[in-house]
Amino acid sequence: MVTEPLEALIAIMLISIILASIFVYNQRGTESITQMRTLSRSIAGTVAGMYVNYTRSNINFYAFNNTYVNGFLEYVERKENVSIAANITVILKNGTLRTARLRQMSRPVKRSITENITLFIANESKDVHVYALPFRNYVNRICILQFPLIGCLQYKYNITIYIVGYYSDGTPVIGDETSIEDASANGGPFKKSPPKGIVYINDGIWNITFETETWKKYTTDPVTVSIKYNIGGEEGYKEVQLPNEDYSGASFRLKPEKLCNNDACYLYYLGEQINLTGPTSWQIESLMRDSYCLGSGDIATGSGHCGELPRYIFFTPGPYKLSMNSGDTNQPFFIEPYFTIITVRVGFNR
Amino acid sequence: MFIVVVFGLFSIFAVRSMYASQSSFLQEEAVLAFRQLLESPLNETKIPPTIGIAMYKRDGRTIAVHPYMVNMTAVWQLKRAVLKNEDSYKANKTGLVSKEDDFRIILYNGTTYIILGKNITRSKVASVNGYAFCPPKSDPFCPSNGNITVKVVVTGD
Repeated sequence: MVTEPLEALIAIMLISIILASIFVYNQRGTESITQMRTLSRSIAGTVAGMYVNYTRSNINFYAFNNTYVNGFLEYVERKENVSIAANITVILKNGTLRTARLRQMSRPVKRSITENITLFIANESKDVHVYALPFRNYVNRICILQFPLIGCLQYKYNITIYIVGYYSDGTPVIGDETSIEDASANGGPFKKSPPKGIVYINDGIWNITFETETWKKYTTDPVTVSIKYNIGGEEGYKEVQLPNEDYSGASFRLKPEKLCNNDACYLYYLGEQINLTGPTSWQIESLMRDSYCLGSGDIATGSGHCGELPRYIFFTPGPYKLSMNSGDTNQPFFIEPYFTIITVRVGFNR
Repeated sequence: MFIVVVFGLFSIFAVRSMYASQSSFLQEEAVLAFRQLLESPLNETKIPPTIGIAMYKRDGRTIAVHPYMVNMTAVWQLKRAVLKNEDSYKANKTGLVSKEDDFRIILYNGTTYIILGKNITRSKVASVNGYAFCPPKSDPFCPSNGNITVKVVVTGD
């Protein structure tokens, strides 16, 4: 078969155009994917920023998820004509992953891009907060000289106050420069206690105990505890007023199984178990945000549910107050920062 | 023969124009500039300064960076010093794009814009849109929900 030169030329040109078109089409497809990936990464990064902000704020998890995350993702869906799913995964100390859904896709999509942002909540803030928590919500009165017909003649009184120092991101204040400058108990059986002098805070929590040295007579006068501190460079003053009531007999505490700088400490990584002594029906309340959790028995952080919230979501980094026996006994503890992964899947029909 | 020549010329110009309009290099440069801007902190110790607006904390030799979390101090530093006029823009623009190209950064909080860089458009333009978190109360520019839109435009010949 003989091919005309003109036909061959036309054929070569047509083939060139087709090849060039395929090349350009593919390149544009790649550019589109690159842009979508960049968009997805910025969305994941923004949600991660919201989570970091949440750990430093006093808002609860519902407000974080509904107002911030879902409000933002709905806006992006409308503006970019995409559908977005988002998850939050916490990594426990033993490596277990726990995932909770922040948002699911609103419609089916042809293609999707998934981006992960891993976060470690570092101690980035020097904004110090100080909280004073009494071990008991009253002056503890113990009868030490009881007569069968007359009743109690002599008492001993004691008070323990926990001082909790934490930064805005929920991490504990640590360092030798941190101290309780002075503390005194005034009123009731204490009249005016001698100054305590400087004590150093270990890992965000320190307790100050006042005890009457000699036997005292019965009194119901309330007591005021005054504490002067210098925590993380922040000087301040706390005053706690306590009523004077009878000792209930209940005594629950966290088992201080861990040591920090050769001292008992109450710092837990998410996923660690918190062991308790005695009968243990408890309430855990965040000192930073409006959230609490009820339960009983030893506390397995990073598993189970707390109300409608997964417990591993409830335990965001920060200081917590554990109350037992209907508020009779209080104990602060910290949940240490952990790794968190924010996963965002952006789906589109292009 | 005339038809073939006309068709051939048309084909050549069609392919050339398609190739010229894609601006693939600029597009990649815009993506890289966008990521650097939001994933790196502003580093003024370098010459030229590394242009970035990510939040960070320096502790000795360690630096912790929060990508896509906007450090408004860096934004104002870029506006008032690093990119404040034509001369400083020319001297420092290679901290974000190549020296042959120009860039413009637009931050939008829902009501107001902050524009950084050079407000010109040359023969080729590429842009990348995305989002970032501006911590509420960290600066009057940051909205109450913290969401801002970020656009990086790269332009060249």
